[in-house]
Amino acid sequence: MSRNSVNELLASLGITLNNLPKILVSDPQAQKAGAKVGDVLEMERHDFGKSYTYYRYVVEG
Amino acid sequence: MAKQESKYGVQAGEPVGVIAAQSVGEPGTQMVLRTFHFAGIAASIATSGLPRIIELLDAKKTPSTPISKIYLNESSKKSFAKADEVAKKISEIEMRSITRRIVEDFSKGKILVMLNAQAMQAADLTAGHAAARLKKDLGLDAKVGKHGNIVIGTHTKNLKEVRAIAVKLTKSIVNGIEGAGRAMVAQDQKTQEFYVESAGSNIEPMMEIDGVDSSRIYTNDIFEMYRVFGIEAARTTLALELKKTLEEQEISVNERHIALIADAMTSSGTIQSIGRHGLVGKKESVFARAAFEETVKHLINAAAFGQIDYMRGVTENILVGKQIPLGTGSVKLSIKREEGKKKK
Repeated sequence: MSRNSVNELLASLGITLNNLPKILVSDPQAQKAGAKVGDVLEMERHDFGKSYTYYRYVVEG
Repeated sequence: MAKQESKYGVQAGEPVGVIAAQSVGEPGTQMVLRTFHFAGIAASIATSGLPRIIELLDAKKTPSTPISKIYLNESSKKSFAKADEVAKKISEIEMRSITRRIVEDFSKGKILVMLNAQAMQAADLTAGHAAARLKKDLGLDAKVGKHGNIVIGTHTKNLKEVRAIAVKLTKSIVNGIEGAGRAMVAQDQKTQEFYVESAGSNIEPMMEIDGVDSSRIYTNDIFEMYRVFGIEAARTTLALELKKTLEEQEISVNERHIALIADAMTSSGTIQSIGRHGLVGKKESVFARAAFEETVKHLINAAAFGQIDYMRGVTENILVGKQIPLGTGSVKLSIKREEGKKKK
């Protein structure tokens, strides 16, 4: 996600980056996406027949 | 604001975590404590019921009964023969299960492995096949000798070394994937497609096999899913396993509660257990941790290191008798100074 859309998302939810669920940089999916520490990954989830978007903040680890 | 909330059906300040815990916990009390063993059907001896739930929530590194489902790609899933072929490649067979006797010849530095013909036939293996596998895995000079026995040359006459190799031999695998366990072909009731189910889990090498659809491979080992596919896959697996275990006991819990638990357990990017080593143990507030377990330890540590409690959580506020930040309590009153002036 781009910086701007991240800021927009955080503002709309009234939270800070650290409130987001996290994902480690070493995570296989984070590596596949080529994510760097500090990025926010946007993902499409299909959960029990419903789909929605989920965000994870990339952290060291 | 109000419109957005009604869309989701949860009010601001709703204690969703507590509700999720109660929703799972209450029907959980009715669950059977025993694990059932069904005689005959090898596939259904998986841990179920309360023991499995505990295993999942405690985030145990390995499940006590790992099971993996290996789905096949378009060209292989319709034919039993092709599925069986894949199952044979996966099914783990230990050397000791097919040997009758192992004779060590210390003077020549050789080991003679007498094979059990019946076991070999049952496993659909030949001596040549087993010897080749030993050569590949252990780097041993394994050949097929007289009477279908396997002869292994060790290049040493040292008693200890020969014995060490012989011991290693009994534990080695002559067929399949290490840790995969017994694999069998099963058929999906709905789609009629064939897939392989194995009583073990080591999905990385399984994905490499011809005919396997690696994108649909599944194991009930959450940490393995985490290692291979990452945190999101682990979360989904965790939620599915919880749901499945509850459903087996004919307990219906709304998916949202289960999803919330799975989300909470994986929110840090790794899998955290629920309990003093995981989620609760990592709480920010000193009082909240002290109120849960190991009270003295937390208080002394906090005092020694001069930790500050910001009193933002629920537990610590109950502890000191303040209003808790939930429901009505989560709303704070603030006055806009300018507007107050105008009214005057």
